[in-house]
Amino acid sequence: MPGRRRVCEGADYRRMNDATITDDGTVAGDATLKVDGIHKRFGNLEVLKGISLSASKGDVISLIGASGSGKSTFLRCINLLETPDAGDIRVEGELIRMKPDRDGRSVPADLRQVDRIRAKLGMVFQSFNLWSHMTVLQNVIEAPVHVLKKPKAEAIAEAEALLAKVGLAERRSYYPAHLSGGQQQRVAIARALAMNPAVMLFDEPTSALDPELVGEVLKVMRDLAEEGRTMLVVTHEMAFARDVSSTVMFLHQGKVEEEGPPSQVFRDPASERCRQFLAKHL
Amino acid sequence: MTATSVPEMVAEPVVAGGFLSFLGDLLGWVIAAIVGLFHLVGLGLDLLFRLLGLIWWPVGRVLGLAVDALGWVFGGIGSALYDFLGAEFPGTLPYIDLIGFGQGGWGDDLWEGLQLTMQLAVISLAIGLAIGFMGAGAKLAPSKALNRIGNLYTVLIRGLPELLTLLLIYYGIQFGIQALIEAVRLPDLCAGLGLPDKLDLIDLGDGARSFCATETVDVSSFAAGVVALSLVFGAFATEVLRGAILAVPRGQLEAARAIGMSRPLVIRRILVPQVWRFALPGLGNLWLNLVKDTSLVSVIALDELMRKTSIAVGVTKEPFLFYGATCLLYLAVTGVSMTVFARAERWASRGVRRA
Repeated sequence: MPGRRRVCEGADYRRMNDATITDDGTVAGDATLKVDGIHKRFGNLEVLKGISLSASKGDVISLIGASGSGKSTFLRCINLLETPDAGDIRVEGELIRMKPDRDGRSVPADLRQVDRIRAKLGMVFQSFNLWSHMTVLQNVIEAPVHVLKKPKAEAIAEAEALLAKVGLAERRSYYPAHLSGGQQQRVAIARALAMNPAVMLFDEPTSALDPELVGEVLKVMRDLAEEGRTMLVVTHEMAFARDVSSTVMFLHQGKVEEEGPPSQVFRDPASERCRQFLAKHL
Repeated sequence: MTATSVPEMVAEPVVAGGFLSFLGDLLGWVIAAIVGLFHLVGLGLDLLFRLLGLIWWPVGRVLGLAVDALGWVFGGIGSALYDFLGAEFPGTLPYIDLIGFGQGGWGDDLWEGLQLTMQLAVISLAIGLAIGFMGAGAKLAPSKALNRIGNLYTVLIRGLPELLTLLLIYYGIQFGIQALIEAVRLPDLCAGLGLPDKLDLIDLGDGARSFCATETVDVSSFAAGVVALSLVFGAFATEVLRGAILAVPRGQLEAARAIGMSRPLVIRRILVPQVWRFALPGLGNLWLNLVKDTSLVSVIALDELMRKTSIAVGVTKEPFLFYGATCLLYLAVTGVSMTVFARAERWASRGVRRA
């Protein structure tokens, strides 16, 4: 039965999506990531007040906003590092099933489904979070070998290609502690890419870096955007948001205040708050 | 080697009074200890090779020959030393005989005591470590009830002198089993269950030929020692491991969850390997304490190293010789342990920049 139910959901979802007609009149395919009405509160503080987002394949969506506007929390809700109180998350059409727990809070109904979906969402953290007891190569092959059960030789070959791509092939047997912040973050990106995720989630990937190391990480991210990776980027790098993204979302106090292509958001924002924010940050 | 049961100071010409003769004695003890150690090395190798031989017989066969050869070499060195000493320092010979492995020597008794001490320590380490992981898990669990159980355990055990814990457990087990036997009225129970009168489940020793007729119980002091030392090690290890688990950076665990690793996989691949890095220094200390605490079990008449030493002292009236030799044995064990732990720490903190 569960299998059949999933098919139904997929069908429902497709029907809904078919109605979405893009500007040039073609029918959009399945959104790679679709998030509807995410709410999240910490105690009395309502951090997210109903945020929705839809990313098709190849979209690069930048989330900007002041500290405390909820953009990182929103990103962490998508792969359930924070459990949203309400809202739907669909990855490649598959809905993450939630249920209320004893206290009435929303919790995942099936932890194995969550693990499976997380494997499709590559996360890059502000503080890198590389596993410090493993070498660079071990960091990159860990999840493919132990989560996807790939043969080790195959995982190593792919990892070496990815490390070459982020420019760290010759550092494969270094431990994270012996790398610079920029290098660590590039390894973290390679680690996430090794799962061949449907969407890459970046949580302020350059905020913990020395200014001279920011460029090397942004370059890798630009390359990923160019080759058509679907990306969600929480960032304070306005130049990156303006030049690379297909959509920019400005969050304010847990709501989407402004949303549109960068040309519009940066040149002619409708919201006064967005205007003020950009004036401060450009 | 000739053996003398009681050491006799050979009448030496009084040349420089007490101090020189004290030096002579001291030298005698040191040399005696070295000769003893040669024997210990031989015995240790013998034991090791026998164990290896159990796994694969040619190893035992070949290494058996090797150990014979080594024994011959060490024996030769020992004999040469003995002859040399006999010629140069006749006063030391009685000590060597006393501490040696020959007839009238106490070397083999000390060796047996050391073996028992090590068995006690190693078994308690294994059980205590398991208890420690469970205790740390209980203390960090979301369940309030588990937290309380963990706290009660560590507060209780860490707050008592180890000797008292040992005695409480030794007499407590005895008392408990006795009370249980009386409470269930064992003979009646057996009759009720239709068990034969002469059922021998375990060898209960003299006076208790049949399980159903059991009236008094003797608790093995080795078992009581293992239980007590494991509980003590476990209580302190709980705290060490709890601290170590909390010291692993949360972000690394989050990254593992975010990439799709299941909770058990995160624990096995990310958490535990790094727990060792933070826990090993503390666990090393606890292991040294454990080795030393085994000497407490001598009070419930377990013939471990300390008790064997006391017996030797009582019989020979040579306290410094035997306490000195035992001191060297404990130091050998603890010294080797420290080296092993230092290596283990280096392995566990691989990839971490050292200050």
